[in-house]
Amino acid sequence: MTKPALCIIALVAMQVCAEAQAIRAAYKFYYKKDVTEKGYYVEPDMMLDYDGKTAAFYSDATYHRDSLKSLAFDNNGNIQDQDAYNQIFNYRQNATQDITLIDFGHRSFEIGYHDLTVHIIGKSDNLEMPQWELHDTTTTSALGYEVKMATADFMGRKWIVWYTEEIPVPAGPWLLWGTPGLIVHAKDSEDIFTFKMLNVDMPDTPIRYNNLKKYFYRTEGRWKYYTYDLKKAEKIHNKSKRDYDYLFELADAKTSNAYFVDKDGNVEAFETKNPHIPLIAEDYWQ
Amino acid sequence: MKKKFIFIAATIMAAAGIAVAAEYHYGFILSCGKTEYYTSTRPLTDAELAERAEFYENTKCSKITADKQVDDREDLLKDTNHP
Repeated sequence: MTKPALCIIALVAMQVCAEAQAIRAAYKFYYKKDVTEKGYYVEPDMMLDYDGKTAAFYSDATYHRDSLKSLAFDNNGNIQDQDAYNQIFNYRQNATQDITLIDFGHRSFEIGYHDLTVHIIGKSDNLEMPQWELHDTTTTSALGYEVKMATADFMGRKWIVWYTEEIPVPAGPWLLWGTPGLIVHAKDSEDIFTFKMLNVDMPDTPIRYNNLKKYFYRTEGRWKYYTYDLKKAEKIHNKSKRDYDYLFELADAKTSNAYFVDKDGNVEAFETKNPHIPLIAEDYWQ
Repeated sequence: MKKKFIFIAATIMAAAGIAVAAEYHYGFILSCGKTEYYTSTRPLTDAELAERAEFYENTKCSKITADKQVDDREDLLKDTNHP
């Protein structure tokens, strides 16, 4: 039986933020597109970069691919560096291109969604820390850390996380932060999403926050940028994930007669309507 | 492993009466063995083609590639309930 204790850590957490060692933690992110799905989609290389002032959560493969794209293409979207272009395909192609950036000093954050040439950016100047309820429950994690449980209702979902005070930074995946130690495991109560830490490192190189931010705000070429407050950005992003015709409209690249052909010559229509479940529950906005 | 995809682009000028319309046809060979074809009303840049390839990989091949799939083999219940 756990004994919940109220978490009184807002000021403590911010103090820890200012003094924290930079870390880079790798997570596996499991998610569903439809609650009826038995299995999960997996993003195997999500990275958390945290330095006490900022945090970034992103796919490592996408980071490398985007870096190479910056070199490979000129402002008009044409190849200018063939070697960089060829290297793009050394990295996993189907990684998520979505990122979360937190600026603790300004108490702001932004979530960037990227599909095709469309960047949808949701900004908020109201960074909220989940109101964690700390529990006495402890166990040893798969990585050997002693971990404690915390729960919070946050952005429309009930989150259950495990954190370790052995790594005393109030950071975690996505927008989950503020526990008295690094979050090594997080899941929602409906079993739609799970973040599982794979390893943690203390990088010598500067964290990638600034590079990610710079890349996400390129304005040249045929990139399309849509920047809104978080609520509107979420609405537009969710629509674009569920309706690819809408996404193509945003990209100013309408197509027609789209279809797939498999190895045996079977033709399959391109389905433009798709299921999607956002991390921020849509009920949260109502 | 280096993956390659091939762009097949052709322009067809179709005359209908006195009107002339340009269509740009593209084909992407995806890593999961499928080829995606579509028609655009304007030529796409190299960067747009690369983004398209990534998009179709993500939407069409994500369930059956080795590193991103609906993973029934993993003991996820145990995995998600234990840190």
